[in-house]
Amino acid sequence: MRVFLTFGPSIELTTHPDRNPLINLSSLRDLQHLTIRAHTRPEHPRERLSTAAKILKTASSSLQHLTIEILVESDSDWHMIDFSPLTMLAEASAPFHHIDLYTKAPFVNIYPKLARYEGLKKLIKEGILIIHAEQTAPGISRFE
Amino acid sequence: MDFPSDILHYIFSFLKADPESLIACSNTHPSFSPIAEKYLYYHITIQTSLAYRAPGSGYCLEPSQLLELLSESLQIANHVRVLQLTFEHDSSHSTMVKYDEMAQILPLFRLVKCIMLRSHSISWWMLPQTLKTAVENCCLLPTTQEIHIGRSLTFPLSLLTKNPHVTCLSFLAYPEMADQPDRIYPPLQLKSLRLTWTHHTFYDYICTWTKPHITTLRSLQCQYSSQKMVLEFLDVCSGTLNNLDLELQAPCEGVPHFRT
Repeated sequence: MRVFLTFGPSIELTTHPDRNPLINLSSLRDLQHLTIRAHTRPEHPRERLSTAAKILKTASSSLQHLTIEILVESDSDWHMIDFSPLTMLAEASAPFHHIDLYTKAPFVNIYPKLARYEGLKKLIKEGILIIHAEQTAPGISRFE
Repeated sequence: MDFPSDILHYIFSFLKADPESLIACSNTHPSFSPIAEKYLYYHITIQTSLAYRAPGSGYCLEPSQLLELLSESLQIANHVRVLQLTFEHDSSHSTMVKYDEMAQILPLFRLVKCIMLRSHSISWWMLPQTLKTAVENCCLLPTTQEIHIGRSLTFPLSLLTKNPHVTCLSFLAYPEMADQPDRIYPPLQLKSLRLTWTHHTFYDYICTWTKPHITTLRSLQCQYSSQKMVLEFLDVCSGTLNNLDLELQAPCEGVPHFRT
């Protein structure tokens, strides 16, 4: 089956299992730090985070530090985003010791959306999941 | 003003990205000047026009300004570690004169560690030969370890393989498809690779070029790249990779400026 998705602010693509197979991290035995920057759109409130969750499920136990950046096109889109795919971060099998979540949204907007899921709320309380509100994840060079 | 120089070095080292502050410090006291200069010229950008200065470009200068400064003190060339060049899509006589000045200046920088090239929609093959040779010689310096090719510049990938000291590469541009290496060079031992906006036209070409050079890769950053390409790269460097940065976004479907 061929599926058409809109991924970015002005970009459309064709996803096809052969052209865009899911990234599998299981062979990366020494991977220590993974950064995922997920562009989310209100038309597909689960799509990108769901893909991220599927990728994360393939990670080996060496991956202890995870950085997730959630990007939206406009500030008004935040309330549409479905964060439920991120509940996999709280599963017992998840290897992450430290999770940094970066968003452009203010803390007061993002925290309630995460805390409605008990597992994520627990990760935040334990200091495993750190919310970096109104910040951009480090690592991207601005050189273009 | 009797500060120990190592303390001044330490303080000024934090201002490398802030040329205005370093110039101000330099003007404060004669004893500050040589130390501030070292950090002022650490990262320079040479561009034909200063109308636009990209953030994080270090100390931006037109070629004629830099020529004048170098004629006063050749020593400043030895401070340059990060050399950024910006090319314009402009074939006017005045721009060609500036390119010629740029070509004269580049051989003076013998200790460059990082070269950053960017353009405003110009292809490598459109630049004057003297400038291309000067840039190529900078890329081949034994001190050069990092090369960053910015957006809107088609670039011959074969040039990158000539310097075995290059360990860090970022590529936001389009490869010159007609590019042919003058001979076969041993693969690079890249430790860090960043690819951005890889147009699907170039997947096969970039994959074929890249894979031999990433067998010991430690850090991979892919923005807007195809997942298939990422998977091919992961197959090659799975034994050494410890840092992966993925942007879950589609490959760009726009029409690139490139020569076939």
